[in-house]
Amino acid sequence: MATSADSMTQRQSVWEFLKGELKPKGPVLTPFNVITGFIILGGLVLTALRFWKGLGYVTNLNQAYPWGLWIGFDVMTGVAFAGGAYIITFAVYVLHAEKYHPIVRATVLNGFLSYVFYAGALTLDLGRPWHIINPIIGNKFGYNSILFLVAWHFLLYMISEAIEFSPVVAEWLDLEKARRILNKMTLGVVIFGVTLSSLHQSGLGALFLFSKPKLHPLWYTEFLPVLFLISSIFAGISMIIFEGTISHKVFADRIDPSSHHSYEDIVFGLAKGAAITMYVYLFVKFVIFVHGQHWSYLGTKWGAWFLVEVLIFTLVPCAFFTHGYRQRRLGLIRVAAVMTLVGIVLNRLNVSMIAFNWNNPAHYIPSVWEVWITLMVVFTEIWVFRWAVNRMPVLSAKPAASRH
Amino acid sequence: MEYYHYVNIFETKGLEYILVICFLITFVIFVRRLNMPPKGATGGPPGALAGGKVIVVPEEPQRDNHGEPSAKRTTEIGESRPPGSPNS
Repeated sequence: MATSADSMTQRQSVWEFLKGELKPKGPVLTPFNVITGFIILGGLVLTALRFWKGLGYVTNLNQAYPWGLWIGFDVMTGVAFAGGAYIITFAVYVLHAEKYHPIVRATVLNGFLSYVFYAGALTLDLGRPWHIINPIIGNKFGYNSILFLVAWHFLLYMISEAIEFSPVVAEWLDLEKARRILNKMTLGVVIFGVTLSSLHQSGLGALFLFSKPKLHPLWYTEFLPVLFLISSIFAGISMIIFEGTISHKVFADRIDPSSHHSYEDIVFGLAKGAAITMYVYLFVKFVIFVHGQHWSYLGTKWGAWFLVEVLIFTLVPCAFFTHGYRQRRLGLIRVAAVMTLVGIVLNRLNVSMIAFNWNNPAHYIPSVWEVWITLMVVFTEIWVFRWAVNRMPVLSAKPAASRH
Repeated sequence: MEYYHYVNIFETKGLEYILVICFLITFVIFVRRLNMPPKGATGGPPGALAGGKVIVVPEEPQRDNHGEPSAKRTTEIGESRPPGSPNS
């Protein structure tokens, strides 16, 4: 009798704790909250309309352009930005690059939320979203399709990321035994996650291998999977620098003082990694360009657009990363990170939207509502990230707990 | 719409081999340059050459005047040794 009363009290206290944690911390009516809250609420209404009235009601998608902004930005770009998680966990747990340990938790959380929200936004884009479960349950597996690989990988990788982050949740809930068990699973899950990531990052590029007649020759290549994989490395690194810069300002009070000191060193190390990866990427891109004999396209407006993407948003940030690392200039590295992120957005949108059906007279331009829903997805992810960072030991471990 | 576009893969092969060789050479130069300390700086960027470790260089004890051996000091890569120290 006493045990049942104890467990009831315990359940009540857990409920009280969770209820308390759901309450906002800090001022509610800030300009950021008001604007993003309005966008999120409006986006929810639009999402309901999309499911009620169909894709055509809120999007400009048609038979010629069945894939639009939601695939190009949310899925293609979002997953590339989430690449930082597999890079950092690989560096820390497999290569034992311990200096990156302070950013593991934030990076894994960011990666996990990116997959949940951006890859989850895939359901918005499906004409019959309830079929999303088909590749998993075996109702026409479709295992000769690249989407089969992508669907399974997204699901498994989300589970991996959830397990990688779960010790932090256990630490937050003071579940010491669970945390120890989950910690022991980390290395295996990291190796599994890195394997999945490298395959589906390239798999997203492979989705376009069948679209040779539709994709502009400057962007189409049989090496799209390789380019997507390499670019996901520096996209992920740039996202870590960008997100870390903002987190260090917004959540300064939640960061260990020791982490403040090591942060600059971490950013320099990341900049070096990004510079080397971008150098390799540029070379591969150049060899593909020469191999495809695409010189004649450079004189066209598509050529100019291609050069903007490759020179201004890949070569220049590569030079900035290099110079910033050598001269120890944090500001320059941050500029390079932002430019790289813009370059990745351009690259993914070029492949999936802008240079797709390039010789079709009718072009797809996303509707305002598509942009609105995309912003809703981005801001909701930021809100959830902020909620987790303000409550869980993401940016600093609890003193009593051992490392994650 | 152009559905079939034949590419003579041998047409650019020579150039591609040269590019790959150039890449291999320039990549090594690039990484070495990335790790080199900047001009005029005493210390290199973090992790340069020493992989982020501080190298401890033990000095020979001063025995000519039978005094106390001098304390060990740490020297960073790129830092010049004080005049009179061994191998300076």
